[in-house]
Amino acid sequence: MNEPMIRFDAVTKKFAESAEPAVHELSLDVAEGEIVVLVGPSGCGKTTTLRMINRLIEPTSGKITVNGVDISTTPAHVLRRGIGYVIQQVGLFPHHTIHQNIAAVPDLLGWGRDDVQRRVTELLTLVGLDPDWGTRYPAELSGGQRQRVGVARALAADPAVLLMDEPFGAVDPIVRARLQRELLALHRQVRKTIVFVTHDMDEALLLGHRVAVFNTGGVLEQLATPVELLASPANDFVASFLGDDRALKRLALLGIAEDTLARGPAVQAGEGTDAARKVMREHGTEWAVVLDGERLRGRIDLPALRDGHPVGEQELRPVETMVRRDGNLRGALDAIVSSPDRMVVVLGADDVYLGMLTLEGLTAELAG
Amino acid sequence: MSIFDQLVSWLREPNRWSFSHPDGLPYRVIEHLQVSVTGLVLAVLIAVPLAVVLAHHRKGAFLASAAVNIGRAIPSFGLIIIFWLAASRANIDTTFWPLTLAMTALALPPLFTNSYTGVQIVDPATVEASRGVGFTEMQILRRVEIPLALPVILAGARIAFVQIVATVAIGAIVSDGGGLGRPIVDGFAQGATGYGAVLAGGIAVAFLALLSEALFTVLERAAVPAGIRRMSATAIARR
Repeated sequence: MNEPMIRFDAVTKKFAESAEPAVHELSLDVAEGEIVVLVGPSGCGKTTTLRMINRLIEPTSGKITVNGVDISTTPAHVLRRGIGYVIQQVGLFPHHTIHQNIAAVPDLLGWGRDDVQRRVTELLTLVGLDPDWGTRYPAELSGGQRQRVGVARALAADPAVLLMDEPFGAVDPIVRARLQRELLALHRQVRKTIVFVTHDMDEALLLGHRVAVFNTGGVLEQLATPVELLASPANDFVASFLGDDRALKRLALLGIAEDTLARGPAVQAGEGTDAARKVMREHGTEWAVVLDGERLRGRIDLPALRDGHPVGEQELRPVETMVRRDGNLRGALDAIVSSPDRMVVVLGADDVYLGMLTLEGLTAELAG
Repeated sequence: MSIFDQLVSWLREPNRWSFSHPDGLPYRVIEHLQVSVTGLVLAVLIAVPLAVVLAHHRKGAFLASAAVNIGRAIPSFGLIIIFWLAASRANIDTTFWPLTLAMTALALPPLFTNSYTGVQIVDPATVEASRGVGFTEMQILRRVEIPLALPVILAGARIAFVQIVATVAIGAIVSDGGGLGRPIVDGFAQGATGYGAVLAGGIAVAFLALLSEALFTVLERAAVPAGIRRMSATAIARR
């Protein structure tokens, strides 16, 4: 395995005013390009952990390396210019334009004017803002827009590492959901190593490749992928922090596996009514889906069958409940329980009929 | 003769409009301003750097609050006497420096308090973010804290300067200088015949103080950073 981008080696932080350490003997590796989310109740040391990476807080003992270099050997301000930093309150410079805000680090690094201008335009586009907005001031932007500028500022000098401290905590749920999706899309584009702090488990499970669950006293209880975490929480604390609907959350993270699908009641458009009746009987349904080769055309109901014509020429109804192959099991379960026959059509790209997912199939996938 | 006739006849006396003769009103205005401006500049050089650095490190907050109280309790005349005594003991000319230094001392409290507060009330998130992206402590002070605190610092300078302009006149009691205090003090000494001089000096001091106030207000407005001016404009518009 490659050298981790960030490594905590037995790091402890004690604040003078508290007997209990804020972070206790933490060892943690973050791989290059990985998103690790630190999550836990307030006072669990997650923010302290984050702020030790860019030396806003110095550890009491232990060692932190970024890209293989012990960070205590680099002057703090030099280190920080190579690490993006986004906070909940954003902290844009109110007296600077959006352009000046985003250009803060490139300016510190002494970039030329043209390079800075090009980079600012590029970043505004990347975070989904109009490049012409460079001349505006932070006060003229909405909360969500300001946070996008905050992210653009953090990315300005193309740092390998991005630290985000509850960046979406202060925006409303709709904007938050959009910013979360955008962050994942952004990550697919720029592949930064991201350490993200939140107290919202759903946000952690959505964003993290791995999630680090902290407990009070700065103890790392478990570090695992979201699916592992939900399937086997290390202890009661992690389990309770994950919430009662752990199984449902896990479903949301699992994709639909093709080998768990049943063929289901399906007939080709060219076949006759006898064939249709046969598949319905076999599957115990009063309807069947009608296919054109591999593609789904619609469904036909038993009472509507008129003998003497191929099913494709009969009165077809659209299939109402179906899920896409790239959807998740939670959506599939929802569709299954809301369909009278407890099964749902699964479609691939270009409306290719892949089969039916039933409760049995879903259970089998969970077990596998 | 009414007091206004006395004023008019005083203004018509020889050398009254001279810039170079000690009897001249313009001469005294310039003297008054020299003391005031020098006093303020010295106070700014002492108080502002100290206050912004202390405020940046969140140290010495007690100084800022103590300065307010000292500023209120300070007896201006006593201050002038102390500096005058010290200068005369040391055989230094007592016209300019004792009064000027007393004015510096007078200006320190409001300048210190406002500079300290101005830096202290800058949004902590802005400072945290600037530190987080790699500003050095000096860069945080110069590029973030001072520009954002500037209107408040200038308000301190305005309070200090207006106070100085109004107080310099007292200096005429103890020395040959004292700017526009000269005709006031000399007029009083003459008794009933000196009211014209008293009134002329008084009006001139008041006018100078108001003018200073207006000038600094304009400066303060200009010092509000563009982004914040717009912010308050939109905030008002939203109401």
